[in-house]
Amino acid sequence: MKFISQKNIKKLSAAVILGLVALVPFMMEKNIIFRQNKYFYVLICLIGIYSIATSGLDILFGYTGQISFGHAGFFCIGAYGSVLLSHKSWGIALLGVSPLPPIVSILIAGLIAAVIGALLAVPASKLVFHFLSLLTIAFNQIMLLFVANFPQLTNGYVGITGIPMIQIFGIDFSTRKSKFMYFYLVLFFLAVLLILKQNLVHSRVGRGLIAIRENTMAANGCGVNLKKYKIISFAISAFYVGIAGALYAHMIGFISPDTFVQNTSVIFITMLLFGGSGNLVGPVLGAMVITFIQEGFQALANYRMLIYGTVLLLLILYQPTGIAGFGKNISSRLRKLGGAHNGDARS
Amino acid sequence: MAMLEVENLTIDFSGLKAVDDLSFSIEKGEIFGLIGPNGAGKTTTFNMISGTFKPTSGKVFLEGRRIDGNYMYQNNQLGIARTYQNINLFKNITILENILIGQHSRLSCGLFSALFHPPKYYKEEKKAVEKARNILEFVGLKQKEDSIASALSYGEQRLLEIARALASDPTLLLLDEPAAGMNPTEKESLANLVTRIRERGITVLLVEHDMKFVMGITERICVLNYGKRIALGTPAEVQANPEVIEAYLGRGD
Amino acid sequence: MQMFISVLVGGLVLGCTYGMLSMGYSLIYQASGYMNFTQANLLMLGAFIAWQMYSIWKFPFVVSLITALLIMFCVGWMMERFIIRRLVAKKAKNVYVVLATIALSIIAENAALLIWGGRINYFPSLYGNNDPIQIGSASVTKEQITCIIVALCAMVILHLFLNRTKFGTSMRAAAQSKTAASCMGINVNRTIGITYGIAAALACLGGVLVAPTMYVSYQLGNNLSAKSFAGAVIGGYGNIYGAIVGSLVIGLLETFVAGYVSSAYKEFIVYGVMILFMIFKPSGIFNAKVYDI
Repeated sequence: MKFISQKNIKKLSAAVILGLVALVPFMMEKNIIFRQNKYFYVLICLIGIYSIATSGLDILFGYTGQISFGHAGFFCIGAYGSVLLSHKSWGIALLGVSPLPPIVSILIAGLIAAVIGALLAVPASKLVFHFLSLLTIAFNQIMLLFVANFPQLTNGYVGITGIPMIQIFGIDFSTRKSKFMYFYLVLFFLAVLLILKQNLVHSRVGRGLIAIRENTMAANGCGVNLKKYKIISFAISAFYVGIAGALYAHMIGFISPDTFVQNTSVIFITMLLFGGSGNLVGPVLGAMVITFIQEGFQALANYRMLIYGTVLLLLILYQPTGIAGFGKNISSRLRKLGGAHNGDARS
Repeated sequence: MAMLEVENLTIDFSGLKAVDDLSFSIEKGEIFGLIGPNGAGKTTTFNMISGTFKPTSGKVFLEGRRIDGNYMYQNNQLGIARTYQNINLFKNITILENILIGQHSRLSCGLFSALFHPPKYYKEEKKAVEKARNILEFVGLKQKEDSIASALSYGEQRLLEIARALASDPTLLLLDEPAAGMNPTEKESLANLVTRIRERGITVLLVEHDMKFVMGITERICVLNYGKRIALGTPAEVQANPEVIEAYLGRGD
Repeated sequence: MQMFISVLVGGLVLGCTYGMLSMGYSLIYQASGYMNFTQANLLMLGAFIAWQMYSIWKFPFVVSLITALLIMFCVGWMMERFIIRRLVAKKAKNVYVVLATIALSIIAENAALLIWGGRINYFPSLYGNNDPIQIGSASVTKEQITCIIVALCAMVILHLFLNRTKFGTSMRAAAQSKTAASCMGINVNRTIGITYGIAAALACLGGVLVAPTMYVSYQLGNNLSAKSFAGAVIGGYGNIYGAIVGSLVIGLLETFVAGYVSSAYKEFIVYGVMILFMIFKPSGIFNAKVYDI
């Protein structure tokens, strides 16, 4: 029967998983399962947000083969961009312009990130790996310096509190009391962005990106305009991370330059490599596991980064060609469940 | 008008002229050979025609239109496709996907279609997949549609390279040592394939070391030595040319 | 005039320190083709070891310095031998090697934090008294002058080592072509290992020299790191002399902007210059190879 094609099974299983994921917090809230735990909601919101960011990075690295050690810079643009556009007393409010509603500012911040990503791509598309990594690190630093050194506009290192809550059609999506509803907002963004990502990689444009990753010279010979496609890849990737940053800001309610340091960029890459790049599920998986580890180690606060660094090193040493090694196994088994299209970035 | 015209083509790598004042032209529908001993500048000439390198001086015309200095992707859009000496496939994806990428210049779905999959996307993808299957059948790889490119045998990979090049509907096909590493049976099917490609109206320029292969399939040949042209003519004329014999002393099949 | 001299000296001190790091970056890149993000924290560790010995255990300064150098040389060598080499043998992608150096950097920084705490520590004077030296109407500290002089000597010694000694020449050969060098009987693995060791020792030297003029803390490496990369890039990444020149330029640029324009803008200017170079002249002053296509 034509309806039961591989593609439709995949879409069906995706919808079912989405449904289950959406139900869990609802059931928790209504005390049907577990007990209500406020911190849990923050955690799943974070996972959703980092999934968006990691998926964005995947488009650049997993599909187009370009490295970036500075994506926290786009996270920063998204966060500060949205805050400065919507805050009552910082950003554009200082210039006398009335602040925008957060949903609008989130989208605009994402677009700003995309534009800056495209601009960064212009020189970046020409550089070999090592210099590209340096350029992206420098970019990260400059974004950081930017938001830290204009205290009149951004309150500098002190950071901005009182970030506006999100209200759509009268429904409160983020409150100081519970991030329960915010999770659904994040989930919505994640679902839409993942659909767009899947669409992208199964298209002519997506194939162009994969071609660049697999064999740049042959891609050129097949008619792929390398510069244009690298710019597209950077821009889309930046958009995703920008949106993630904006969602982060409105959830936590407070941002400061400290969140957007180099370490954050490294964490994004680790999430991506851990879960598996070049596919749909991998980045989400990586975001989930690493976020758990990060939060799990909170208790050993002083030792946290040390353990994290050691774990990272051991992973690299013993599973380098697939640091996504076991992560990839999980995601490839999940993929086989739905009959997946292959877009893996192997070494 | 000639299909391809190369005029005084020169490339200078810090004092070493890999190709020196080379001129020749290829007519539409010809199968043209470019031969010469190792280091004669054949692949470099290829690279200048396809757009990998920019010549230091000289001109290249494709159907009267000047193309030297273009990027490879621009030349692909204009109708040039090539294969490579060392196979340059997209190794980790399926052969069908390789062919789909080969069609890049001839498809038109842009970023909007890529993200939102309007009806135009479905129509175009369907046609593209059909076309890809036709090309695979044409070269003889149809049954392996979903295999990963790296899983193919060496001979099959070479065929895939040619198939991918054909996918962009070229008017000029550049084959860089297509017979390298093939056994006699494979070479025979390759010769057959090249003839069928020409029957479709595609002009073929090939670089090859296998003399028997070249002499058997080409209509005219240009011989290079140390970057300079030393002969140009039919296979018979070239084989009888004393300069050519001297350049190749002890070489060839 | 007084300000000019103190700004100049300050700039030279920073420039020499960045130079110690960026020479290491270029050495390693030239020898193995990788970027190493651990250098800056090796500098910090070296500074801490020397500080521990000199300030806490009261060893003579020279002893502390040499011990630190030897320890860090071994650390650098072990890093290459046990981590980098293993990854290269596994044909791991570039990303993983760079990530490994970043992981090591994180470990180093946090190990220092745990061992020595988060306090900012100061080096006691090297010369037993704090009398400044007068240059014109400006006063500079003896530690600053020491730093500059010793660093410059180190650069000269490195140059002589690489160009006049047999081992140095074999290092340069291995850097240019591993296959050709091994055909000549050069043990390429050993030279690469020693290159990493030397780079680590240089970083350590930089740390021990700059710490008396600044401070010692687990954060010491972070800020220095980015600017020494800038120095290496501007000078031509992979070229040691470029690294020195580039770093001096960056150091002077930083202090002059801080002194004559504003302290807030100095970071921007430095990163800005680096980015401009990366956009318009990534091969740097001395023309290193950086392009992809």
